[in-house]
Amino acid sequence: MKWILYLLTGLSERIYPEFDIEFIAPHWLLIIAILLVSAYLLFMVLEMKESGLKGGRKLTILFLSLSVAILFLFIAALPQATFYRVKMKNLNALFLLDESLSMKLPADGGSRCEWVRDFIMERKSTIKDLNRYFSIDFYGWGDDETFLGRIKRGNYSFSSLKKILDNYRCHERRSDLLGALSKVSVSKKYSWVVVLTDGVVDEKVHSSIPLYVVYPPESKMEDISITGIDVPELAYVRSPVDVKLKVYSGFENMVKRVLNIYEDGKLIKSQILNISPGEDKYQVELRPNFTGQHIYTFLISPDGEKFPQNNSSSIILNVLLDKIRVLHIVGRPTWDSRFLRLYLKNDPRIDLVSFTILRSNNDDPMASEDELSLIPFPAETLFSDELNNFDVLILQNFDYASYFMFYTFELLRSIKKFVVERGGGLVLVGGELSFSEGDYQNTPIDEVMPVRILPYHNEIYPGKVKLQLTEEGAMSPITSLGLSPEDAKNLWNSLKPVDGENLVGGLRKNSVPLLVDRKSGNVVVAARNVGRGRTLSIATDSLWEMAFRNPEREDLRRGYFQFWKRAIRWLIKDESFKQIRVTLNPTIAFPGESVKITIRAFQSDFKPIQRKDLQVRVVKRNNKKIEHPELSGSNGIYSSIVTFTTPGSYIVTVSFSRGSITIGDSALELVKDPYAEEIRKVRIDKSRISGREISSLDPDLLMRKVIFSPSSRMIVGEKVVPLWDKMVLLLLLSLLFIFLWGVRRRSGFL
Amino acid sequence: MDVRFKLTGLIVAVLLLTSFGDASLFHLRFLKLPGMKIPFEKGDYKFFLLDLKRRTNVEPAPLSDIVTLQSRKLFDQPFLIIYGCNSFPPLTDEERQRLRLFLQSGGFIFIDSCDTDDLTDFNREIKDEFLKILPGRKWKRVKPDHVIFQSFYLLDAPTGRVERYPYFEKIDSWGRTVVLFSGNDLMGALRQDVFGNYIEDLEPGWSLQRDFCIRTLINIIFYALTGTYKKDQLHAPYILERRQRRGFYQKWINEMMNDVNRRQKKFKKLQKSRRNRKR
Repeated sequence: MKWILYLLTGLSERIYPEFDIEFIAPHWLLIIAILLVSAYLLFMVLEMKESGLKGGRKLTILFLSLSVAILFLFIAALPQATFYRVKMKNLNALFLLDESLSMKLPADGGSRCEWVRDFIMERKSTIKDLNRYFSIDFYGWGDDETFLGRIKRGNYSFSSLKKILDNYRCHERRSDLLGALSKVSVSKKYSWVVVLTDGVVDEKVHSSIPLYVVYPPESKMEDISITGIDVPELAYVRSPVDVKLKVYSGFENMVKRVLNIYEDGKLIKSQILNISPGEDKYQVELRPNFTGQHIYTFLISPDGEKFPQNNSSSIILNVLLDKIRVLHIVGRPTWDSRFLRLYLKNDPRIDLVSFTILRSNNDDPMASEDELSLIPFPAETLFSDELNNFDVLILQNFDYASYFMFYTFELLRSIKKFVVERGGGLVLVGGELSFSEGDYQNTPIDEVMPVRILPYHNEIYPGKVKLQLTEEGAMSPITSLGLSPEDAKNLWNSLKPVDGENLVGGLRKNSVPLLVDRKSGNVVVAARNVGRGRTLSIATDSLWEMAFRNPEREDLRRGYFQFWKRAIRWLIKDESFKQIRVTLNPTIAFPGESVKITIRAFQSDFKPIQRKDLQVRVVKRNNKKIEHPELSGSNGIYSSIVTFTTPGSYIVTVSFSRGSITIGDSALELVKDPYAEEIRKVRIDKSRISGREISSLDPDLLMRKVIFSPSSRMIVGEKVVPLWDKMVLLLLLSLLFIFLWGVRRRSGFL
Repeated sequence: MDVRFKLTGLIVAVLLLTSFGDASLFHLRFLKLPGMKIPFEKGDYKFFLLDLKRRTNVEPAPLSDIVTLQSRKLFDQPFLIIYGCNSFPPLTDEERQRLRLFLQSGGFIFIDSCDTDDLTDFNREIKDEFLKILPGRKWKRVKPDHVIFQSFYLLDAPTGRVERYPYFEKIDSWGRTVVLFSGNDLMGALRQDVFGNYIEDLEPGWSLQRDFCIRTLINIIFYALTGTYKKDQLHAPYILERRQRRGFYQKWINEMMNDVNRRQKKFKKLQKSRRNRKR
């Protein structure tokens, strides 16, 4: 109907492509016109009813009357048209070409990368058409966005397009489409974006700009790839952890492959996987033996595949202790063992297995075995097979020789292995059957103890022993009892002298004296980090006196239980017990990505550790190069930003030393190999980008809808033309009226 | 000099020489309440302590000891025996508080009454005192499955110089049994003179009654030293099996004894009839 308007006004649609119509009649005029028309129409209807005319003529009269009425009303409303002169805005369009390494995977006889080039070259005429309205930018994206070229509006040439495509290379190690899109679109407004990609992108992509995605065709490859790993956030030591491996196989039939699992670089498990074609999940059970962070690497044997890098994948697993399993061996029932047991049984976190030797081989209970409640002491089973099921072993006043018999050396070595290799905690508590009296000198236990054990020669001091807290002891999480160094010293000084001590031969390397005999300097309590584990020596069996012999001193009584609580937690390297904590965010990164190190460092009395006293080291596993990042922050909370350049696992260690005591914490960072991650998903992934998938560059979609959109144009001039005074309209009204009058006359009306 | 006496002297000397410190030894310590008469001599239990050392792995101090509520030694070791049979004046609040502190700190008290015929008010008075020391607590009978009956020997019921009460009574607090009461004069049954002869006769005096008195006291001492150790899950199957086996033997012995009695009756009847026939 637009042409009628342009015909009526004599204007050109090309010059004035847009118009508006409005009615300018005052209301009173409009009301009079409506009343007149209504009265006329009513009169006409009544007249027709009484006339008895036949249907055909009656309808003609009514139609003509109605037409006259509508035209009259239209003219009476005084219509007026405003025509606009408009101009197309400078429109921009964007082509984003995936330059990541995964584009080197095969597609349609060549690589995906070549397919993208061919796709654009085959559609050069469409691009030329599009260029009439749009300036087209070409960007490549991967690690970062790369400007490939720009064809300004109307400047298309084959050579410029070819030059752009010559700049396009698939060599980037990441697929950061979201980053590229946000960076490119921030400075320029694009009408639409065409993304050419295989869909393997780092993050899911949503965009406010119309996004059209072109995927290369899927191509079959004889390749196996670990595409994902489902693992719980936390795991508990010695409890099974179900890990689900998502594995994609491009083989047509089921294949058998060996899956090797490495814990911190050490092979811990191998199993055969029957891998079916397509993507499937395979369940693997892990049973971590140590607490803390561990890197688990899963490797499916590549067996001659073209892309072996995607056959392995790594995760970081945080392993915690659900219960602290304590094995408590007591050589003789004493008050010391009784009070320790009282603590061990009442600590809800401790799962206790205890053996107390109630009767030695020399004793005669004067009753048959059936009349006794005694059970055999399963020394061999306990210290060989079962020992690794425990976190802490307490040997309290225990002389091993009578029970280990023929297996003595083997079982003592097993205890050493439990500490050094398994990471267990060992406590040797004194008494008349312990230390030198238990003949521990030159045994594997002697080697791991914090103190040297003297030869078997009645090396005990039966008199009163006044315990003195050392400088290290005041700082130690065990003997500081959670108090400030001064308060801890006062508390231990107020303890009455205890009964007797085992004499020891001085400290071993890496040992810390915590409590000493004030008079003789004999080390009564000492701690040591040895191998993966920790040991504690308590060269007296009278610590219980702290809990009982000072009834009016609730602080001392509490101090005894605190001592054991903290000792057990120190031995197992309990997370909640750490004075220094280091966390990394993110824990899994790509080379060049910023990683934030956050450190919370407080002393045992919760006073912040000063920044200058902290030592931070970043070390790559199997690499001697050490970095010391600068810290910022205050009041015990510090941070630093680091970037890792090469893939692998890194250890960030934070430590604080005072005297010979050192406390600290460490965290693991896994820097992934971007190439392996890029080619991990060998299949086209259409789920990651929320754009409309297109298979060709449809001009209607990309061009017409945009250029005819009002948002793509701007008004540069306007012209107002009244319509009511057009002669044509008045003439038409007159003609209609004459024709109506003629029909009425012939029908017998005036 | 008696051989046993020499042996005692020797062991005492060895104990004193090799002891680690006083705290490492087990002391059989009696608490003398104000106004309470002590019905024994200090040396009456030295042979029992030797027996304890010979039978078990516990290292006892050679002689028993007597402490009072005001004594500094009260808090030397967490095991006390109150052994008495005469009425005594009520304790003061301070004394009660001290005893409560002893129990709260981890102590255990065994009360043994030699007033087996209810001639005095000792049993009532001592029980009332502990209800005042531990307000809100109650005396309860000790069930046969209590760890005290299996802490070293497997026992079925308490015994003593007399067998008046087939049960112990106890007060539980802070998650453990803190006071145990025996009305059978157990300590009386274990008193020995310098030559090792038992001073008191037993009632009813069955052959192993004395030995079972020793076993009962050893079990009480082991309960004080090891707590609920024998209730650990690890021991349960062994103890259950042994109890079942003992039950089976007991049944077999009873059947045998019944058979013997039946035969004896039959024999006596036969003899009687023969005598009658002769007449």
